[in-house]
Amino acid sequence: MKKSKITNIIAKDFHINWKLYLMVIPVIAFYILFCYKPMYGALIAFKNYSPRLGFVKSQWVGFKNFENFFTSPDFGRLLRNTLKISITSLIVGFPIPIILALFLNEVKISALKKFIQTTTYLPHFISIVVVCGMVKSFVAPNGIIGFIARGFGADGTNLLMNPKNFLPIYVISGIWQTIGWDSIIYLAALSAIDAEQYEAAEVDGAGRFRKMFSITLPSIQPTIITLLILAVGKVMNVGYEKVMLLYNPAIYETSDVISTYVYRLGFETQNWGLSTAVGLFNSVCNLVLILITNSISKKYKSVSLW
Amino acid sequence: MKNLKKTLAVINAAVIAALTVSGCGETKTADSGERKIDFWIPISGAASAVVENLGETPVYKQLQKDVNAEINFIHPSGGSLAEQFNILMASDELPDVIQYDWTKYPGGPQKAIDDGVILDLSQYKDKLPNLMKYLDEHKDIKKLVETDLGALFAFPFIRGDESLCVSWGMVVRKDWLDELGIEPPETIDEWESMLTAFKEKKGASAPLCIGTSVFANAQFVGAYNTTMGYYIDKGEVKYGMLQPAFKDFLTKMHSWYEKGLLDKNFTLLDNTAIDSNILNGESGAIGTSIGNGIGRYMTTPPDDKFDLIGVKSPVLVKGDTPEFGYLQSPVALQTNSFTAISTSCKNIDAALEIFDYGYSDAGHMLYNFGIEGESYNMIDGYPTYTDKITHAEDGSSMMTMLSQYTVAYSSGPFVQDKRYMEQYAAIPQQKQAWKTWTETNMKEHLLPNLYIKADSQDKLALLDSAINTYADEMISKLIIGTESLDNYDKIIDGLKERGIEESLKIRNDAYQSYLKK
Repeated sequence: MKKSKITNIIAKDFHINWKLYLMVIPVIAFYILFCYKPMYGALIAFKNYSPRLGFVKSQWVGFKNFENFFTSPDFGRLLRNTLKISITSLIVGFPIPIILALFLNEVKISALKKFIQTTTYLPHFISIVVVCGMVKSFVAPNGIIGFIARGFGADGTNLLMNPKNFLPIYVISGIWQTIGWDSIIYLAALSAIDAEQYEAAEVDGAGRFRKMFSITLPSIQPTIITLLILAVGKVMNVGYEKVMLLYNPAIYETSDVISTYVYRLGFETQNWGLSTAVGLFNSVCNLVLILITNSISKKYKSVSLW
Repeated sequence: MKNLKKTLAVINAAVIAALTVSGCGETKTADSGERKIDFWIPISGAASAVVENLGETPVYKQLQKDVNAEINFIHPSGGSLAEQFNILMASDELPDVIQYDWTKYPGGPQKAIDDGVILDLSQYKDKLPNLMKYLDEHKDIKKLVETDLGALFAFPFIRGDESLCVSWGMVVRKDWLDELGIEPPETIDEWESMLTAFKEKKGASAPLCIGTSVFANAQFVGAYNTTMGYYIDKGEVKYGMLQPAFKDFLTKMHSWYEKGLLDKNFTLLDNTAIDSNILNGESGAIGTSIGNGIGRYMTTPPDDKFDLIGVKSPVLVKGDTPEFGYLQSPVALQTNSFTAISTSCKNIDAALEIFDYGYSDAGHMLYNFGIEGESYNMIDGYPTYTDKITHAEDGSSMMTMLSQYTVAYSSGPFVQDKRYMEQYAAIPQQKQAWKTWTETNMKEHLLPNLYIKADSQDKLALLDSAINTYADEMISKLIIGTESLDNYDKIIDGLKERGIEESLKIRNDAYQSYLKK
């Protein structure tokens, strides 16, 4: 009885809003075809995959691929580097777009504001290969950063030859690349704040910083928390492209991460079973992290993704 | 309710139609009597600069005429080659013929036969008169081509002369040597004093501009009677880093790094950096190839004085013939040069005939020299490239022209002719380097083509990945000094932890069955 009632409601709604339903179909089709359908391919994590035999016919090997990964002598280092790079990027990189957005919000000269916005967005539109090429030439002995470093007593070798330098170079270039783009969403949230609140605060004698901390930040807090939860869900993902473009054998110690390991396995040794197993492990870790942050945030701030 | 069903049906039909349109693109011509072959082959950079499809090149047009067949060339495009090959393997219907590096097939070439992907050509001996004749006359080549089970997985690309296996080596700035009055260096000590002179008197900031791959080609490390990676010594497979002499080599390199003789950026070098260093006088010695290296530098030198000379693989004692040096197998396994017939081939007889042609006398001339009267002429019995190839009217390089009229510049199902290289390496510097580089005993130490058993192959790929990454990292760090040479024993333990002993055992077993062939 109840069921038929629900279908009745849907049918009625469909009758009225059928255009909207039509519009959502490509989106649903996209997710089904490209996100859900390929998911069953994850089963090759438990197989000795041979492309010729395919997903179904390849031989089952149970958890052997996972075992190989966890017992690999480099496992500890890969995990440590991945976490170090992503957590540093998160701690250092997350607040900076917020600060930029707050700063831009205070700039009253619109020409200056536009100039800053354009210049900070720009690196986002440059291909990662080009960005890394630029970073490499900046930190070369005769590049701008290498030159300054020599002034401070560096010995004139490429900064990317020293394991200690990889993390700062990776994180700082990451901030440079994304600062402008990531601030857009905060700027949008800022523009939604009711101007009357500021006027009332001014009447009460609040200064610029008082207003920032008492009105602006609390108003964009839900946005910040939502983005933070999403960012935590990506902690295990340090993309292989940028690391691969920047690293070299002399600094594997600090730069080799899970995704570069997976890349080498998949493309140099054709071991797709193992690389899928590692990818699956990554996704599970990310899911757990996102669930934890979400529930913490739900409990204390009543902001959550679902 | 009725309305909803109707609308859904319409939408369904629309989605299905959209999917079919994007998904189609394959047309079938399954006429078994037709002499028509689909040929999947990566296109070289040189050829693709001129044509989109190899079928448009004069050499392949002529081939189709000679064998009276239609060849439809399919080139993998977009993404990496490995990716394209994997997608190909996962598809139901394979092209008739596939030219690729079959060691990249998971489990190796023998596994590809066992999995029913490609045909074992040894089952068709009667239909391959030319290839079989060549292999019977050249037993050593046959040993390299056949798997341990005696299967022939592809039409091989064969270098027809030992000298063709050497195309790379060390070069130094000859004009600097002349100016400073130094003889071309032979020993490690002579190298050291030459590099020091380059640094002090010529202001070279990175006198020796080489990456670790140069060590993998046995330069410098060869002086210590070992090399980076696996090699044969007294009937046994050995691994360079495990030898005590390897530490001596690293000690030397570390001192060169400290003295500023070895490029401070040696782990970061790419071709652009090496080009810029040698051409701008920042470096006086590099490792390079005959064609794309010496040929390119000497045709457009930065100034009139600039000159290069090829030098022998360094040794410890003056006058010694280098034990180790750069040498490729006459049938180099890990290259995209193996033409295999797939099990989906619609006309096997035609495919066998088409690709066996490359090993016949006429096919040999076509693949190596192109069309007589157009791209070459017989002058006193020597096939000489015409001006069309060597001095193209539109100013195209010889490489570009060779890529249109021959296949000798690349690889394919034929025997490469020495006379191609003699003409391609036309500049005196190229001839000199080519001759100098061949003077080694590397033939005794080169690992032959090993066909690893399928079950060991997966394991070995994993071990190799871990070992190579670790070895690269440690060699770099030891040379720089971020890892102390006092810890060398610990590093060996690290190699053992990553399975170097198992890897050696698998290779030695494969080598034993190679010897038994």
